[in-house]
Amino acid sequence: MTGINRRQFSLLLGGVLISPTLLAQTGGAGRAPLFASAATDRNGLHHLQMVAQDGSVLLDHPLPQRAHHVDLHPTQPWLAAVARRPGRYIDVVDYNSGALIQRVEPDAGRHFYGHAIFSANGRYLISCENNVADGQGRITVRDIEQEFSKVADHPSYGVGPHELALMADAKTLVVANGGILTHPDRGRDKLNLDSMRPSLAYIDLHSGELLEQVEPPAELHQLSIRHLDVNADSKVVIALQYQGAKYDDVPLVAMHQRGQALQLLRAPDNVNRAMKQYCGSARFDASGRYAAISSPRGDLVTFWDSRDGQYLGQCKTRDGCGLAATTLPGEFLISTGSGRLYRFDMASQNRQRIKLDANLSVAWDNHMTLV
Amino acid sequence: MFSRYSLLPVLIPVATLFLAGGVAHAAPSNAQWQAINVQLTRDHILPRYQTLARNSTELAAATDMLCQQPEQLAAAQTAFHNTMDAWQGIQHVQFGPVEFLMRNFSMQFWPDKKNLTSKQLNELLSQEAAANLTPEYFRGASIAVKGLPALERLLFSDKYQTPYGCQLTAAIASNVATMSREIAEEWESQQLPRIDAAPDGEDYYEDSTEAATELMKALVEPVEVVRDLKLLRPLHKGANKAKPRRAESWRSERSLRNIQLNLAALAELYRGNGSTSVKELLTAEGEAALAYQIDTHFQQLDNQLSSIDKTLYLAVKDPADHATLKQVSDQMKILHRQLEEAMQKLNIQLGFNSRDGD
Repeated sequence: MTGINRRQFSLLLGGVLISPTLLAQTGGAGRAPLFASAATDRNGLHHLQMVAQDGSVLLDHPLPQRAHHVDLHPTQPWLAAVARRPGRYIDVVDYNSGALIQRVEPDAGRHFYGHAIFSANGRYLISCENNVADGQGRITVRDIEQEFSKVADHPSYGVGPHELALMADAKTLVVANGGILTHPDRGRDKLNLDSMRPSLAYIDLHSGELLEQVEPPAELHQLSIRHLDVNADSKVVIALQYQGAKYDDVPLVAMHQRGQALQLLRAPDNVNRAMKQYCGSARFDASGRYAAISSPRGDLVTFWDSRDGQYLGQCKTRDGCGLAATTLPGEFLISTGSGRLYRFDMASQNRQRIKLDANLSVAWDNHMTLV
Repeated sequence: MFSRYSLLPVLIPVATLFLAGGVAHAAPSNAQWQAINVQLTRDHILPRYQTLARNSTELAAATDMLCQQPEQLAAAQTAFHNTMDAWQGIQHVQFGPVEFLMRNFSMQFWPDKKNLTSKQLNELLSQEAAANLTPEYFRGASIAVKGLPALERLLFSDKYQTPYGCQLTAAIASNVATMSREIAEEWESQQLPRIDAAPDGEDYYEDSTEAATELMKALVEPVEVVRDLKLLRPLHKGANKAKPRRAESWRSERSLRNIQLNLAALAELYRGNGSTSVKELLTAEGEAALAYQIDTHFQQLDNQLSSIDKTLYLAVKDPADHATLKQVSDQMKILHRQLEEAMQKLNIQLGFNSRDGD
């Protein structure tokens, strides 16, 4: 293990961690929601599930196909489960009643890419889509108050837009254009690996204007920009996936601040190799300073300091991919493809398994959302 | 405002999701997996790595000898074949010590789509630098020149025939032997204790099922990898369009043998050779027919591959052999699907996000 120096880490976190544990905070509220995630069960059926603090299942909504990201509405008790590429649904579900509020479907000739978010005020649902005819990425805005009708349709300024987020100003979108061309007729085949050009695009939510765009250097054009998160300082952390030769050893994490160059980051050699060219999810912690990046193929999650891009340490977690910041600085939830859930505290490097309902034998999909 | 309508049974009790499919067999217990893990590690993995360590040490000695007695080429080639036999027999294990320090790529850098091994070997041969013959050099050397494909090029062409070429051959062989011995030693001193300790759940593995998952990956995933890389790439789109130079080890004319050894190793991993096995576990789960079919595929694949009387290099260009190999590839696809089904029956989750993420 190349874990970081525990004492050093505690110093990094400074006096932030004098808080009680989450369990103590929530007291007897064991049935309070903890997280939501898309999941697949042993029979290959797909679900949107919400799990309580005590590990019991609060919501089990059947999904027509595999989903990817789940987004939480800022004001309503709603979850949106987004079909993964090349799926064609977003189920918006009331997690208290279990009612399906709306199944959103894309226009003919379009499909979703697995990510959509609610706007900060909760009025809009913003999704990444593929315009199949020309393979160009689109950012579609639907107005919830107008029965989810489409009110804007912007270019994503690239191919294969994947995860998107709103910056702190609530009106600038940051979009990960993965760069990989796919076509529904060819399933999930990647059609342009030799010519792909991933990018990070900043787009005005309302006008659709491209405000800024950065790309990896030409020699790393196969470094797909796929997952990201933004903190209150508008710093973007990015989880990368490499499509080049399997023996290449390339940076797999990046950070970006508008107006600056893309900052590509490498873990120490052994860890960077162990990440197996693939990162699946990126999330900032509650403080916004520390970022977690999951590498499910390497069975590990790495941790980074967004102030200087420093690698801080790792946590071994088999097939771990879903990440969510808890309310405590330096603490994350990690979900796995084998159906497990962990709480990891960066300062103590303590990983605690959270017991889930014994009947809950599911694979948690790539992303999770704290509720 | 937007329309609001409710779905009927949204809150299905999760337990009911798993009742489909007739008689319920409990998934194998951690204790059952532990017995299999220990048996497979001791009787399958360790002996195979020990054979690799022994054969590669003999190869290093044979290449040393070759530099003194050039007429010993046949002996060095035989030693290479023995080492490659051993490597092909354990190549399916892609976890544990072989993962450290890039050893898997260092042992065999392949497929080599950019022909880096030839390019970099030629550079070394033209430089003739003594400094490039030391163990220190090879520790940091490019993975393209420090393993078995580089040795094959040297031993099965005339490149070794200069004094420096022979010294380079011996140096690479020595590097392969060192890596092989280290892997064998670390499996015994590090990985075996981890597997032994899995029931405690406090160390490397959380439980025996987690350790078993790694072993089962080594059973299932190579079927697809071998099919894709070693068969389908050279077969390409038909006998008249075949790409013989995409075959593995074509220079030493052992491409088909490699595939047979890979499948034989997987068959042993499946059938076991002691008191317990994956096959028996599957049978005990009420899946006797599936267990038998998987076993039969291994047998039939071996028979079909044995029926080909020429090298893969030539066979892919021969319409009849091409058709036979296409059948082999189709049967491997079925075998892979059935092994995945078997894992589902055994409640082994090979990897969800790691194998099919986005």
